[in-house]
Amino acid sequence: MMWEMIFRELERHKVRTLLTALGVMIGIMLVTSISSFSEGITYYVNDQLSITSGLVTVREADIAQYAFMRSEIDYALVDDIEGLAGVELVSPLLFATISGESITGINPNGEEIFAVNIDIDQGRELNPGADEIVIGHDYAENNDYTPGDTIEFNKREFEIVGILEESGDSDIDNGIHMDIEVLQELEGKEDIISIMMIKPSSAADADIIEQAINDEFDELSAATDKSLANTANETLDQLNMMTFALGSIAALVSGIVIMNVMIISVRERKRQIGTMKALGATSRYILMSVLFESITISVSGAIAGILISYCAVEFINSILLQPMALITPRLIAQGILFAVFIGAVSGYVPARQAAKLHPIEAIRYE
Amino acid sequence: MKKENIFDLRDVSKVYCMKGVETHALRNVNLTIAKGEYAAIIGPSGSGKSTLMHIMGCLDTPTSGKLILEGEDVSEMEDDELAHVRRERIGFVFQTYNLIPGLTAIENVSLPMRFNGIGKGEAQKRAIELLNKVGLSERMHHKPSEMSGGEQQRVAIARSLVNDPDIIMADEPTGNLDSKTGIEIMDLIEELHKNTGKTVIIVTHDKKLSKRAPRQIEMLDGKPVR
Repeated sequence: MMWEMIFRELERHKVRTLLTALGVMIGIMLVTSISSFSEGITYYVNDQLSITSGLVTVREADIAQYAFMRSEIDYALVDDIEGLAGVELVSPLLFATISGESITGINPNGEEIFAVNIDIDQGRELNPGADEIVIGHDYAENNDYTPGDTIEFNKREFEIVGILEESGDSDIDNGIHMDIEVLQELEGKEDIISIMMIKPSSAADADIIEQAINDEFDELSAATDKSLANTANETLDQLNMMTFALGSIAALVSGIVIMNVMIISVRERKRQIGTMKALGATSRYILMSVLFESITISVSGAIAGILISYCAVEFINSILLQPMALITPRLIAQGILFAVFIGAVSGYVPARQAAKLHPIEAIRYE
Repeated sequence: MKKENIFDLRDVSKVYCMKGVETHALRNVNLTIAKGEYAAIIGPSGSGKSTLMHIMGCLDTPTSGKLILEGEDVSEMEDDELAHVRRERIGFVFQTYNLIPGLTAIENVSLPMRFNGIGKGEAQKRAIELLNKVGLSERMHHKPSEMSGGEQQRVAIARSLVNDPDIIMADEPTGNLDSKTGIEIMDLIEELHKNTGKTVIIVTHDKKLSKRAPRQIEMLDGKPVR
């Protein structure tokens, strides 16, 4: 009965309910959208950190570390880097997206993909210059591919010659790998690579290599996983602070709006509340029904806000080369809990007022 | 054989304090009403008749004195205990009908039953039965704003009966109605008194109306004078 009455009451004041929920919606939308970026960055950075653990990543200068997909550097620089002191191995990588598939160009002569040793589970390694690909464990499993199958890219058939062992890294496990020179030709990017992964001779060499590249090559920017983690954390801290500030403002504003509306609503309904008390409704019942009404407005606003930010995030991701923002279940739960909190806090004062109403005073009230 | 008393007021006083000024709404009222009695409380405005009804209806508590309801002292009860007594033992009919605007006739009538923790199906079944009894079978799904004053008061009467209380209290039940509709409502209340044997107490300032009741309690300056 309580819920039926709450919904009837909200329905009776549709415009007021909608406008109030709209306030909450905008607040939750802002907070969720911004949080989705920090979720996204955390996700991609962590993912990347696991591959680059102990390695030095080299990208084009002036490209932010999370945007490494867009980095473009001269293939010839690989030789210069290989000559640096402390460098054990350089793995050039080229990232491309063809017909919706992310493809990574790798050095077929190198023994290690991503400068990390991953064995071939089925089939064999790439032959240099051939129209062949090696695919990750999950990609093969999800698409039911076995060595000998072919995939078409830009109207050229590529034969799957090998399937990698499971590595635990989602980029590698879901990846398609081909000879970097074949991918350069396919993409029309002769002599261009995206990034280099450098394996240092010893862990202590990583910082020295990073320093040397940043000093000597203006066009390059090097980062060890440690400095990657630092910049990522700085960005995240800034984002989180912004989220917190915006969240507090959103909570305050929507809280005030709800409280105002609920106080007016309780005042308007004095007679109705008094009647309900005269008919035997307890103070607790009245308190709960006003409180739930306020929470209902707040939560419905939050659900709308989350849906809209989901659409916005999908849209933003679709125009970026690489998905940047993520709406995780954690974010959804956070948004809804936040709304329950706002609704409960701002509804409490009007709910107490309603519960304390004396039945006679309320009945007399015209 | 002497009938059992449903109401027993012993030295009941009610003092309101407004802006430092004390108003004695009731002064040492002693009054008994027998089970099944039909009584009218009359008197000019300010005589204390509404206050008396509020205290008897457990909507308010006396400043001093005792109210014994069917042998039980209710004058010292907490708010929620009083709510419980009202819900189960007293049906109210108000001058301004006091229906819940967002609810249909059926839902309004079933409301006190729902407060009593009874399920929707059972409560609505009983509501339909009562609405039929008060002659509103065509108005079950209408909201108060879609009904005339007389119809709304019939809904209120059905609502007062839904928990099958021993007592029906009506505060100026015809005050907002034209005289013809007023008579119909009074006929309905009297008919239910006759058929169910419930104790009926009517508060009115209309002498003609009060004469219909076998017993009149006339209030003046916070005391029954007759």
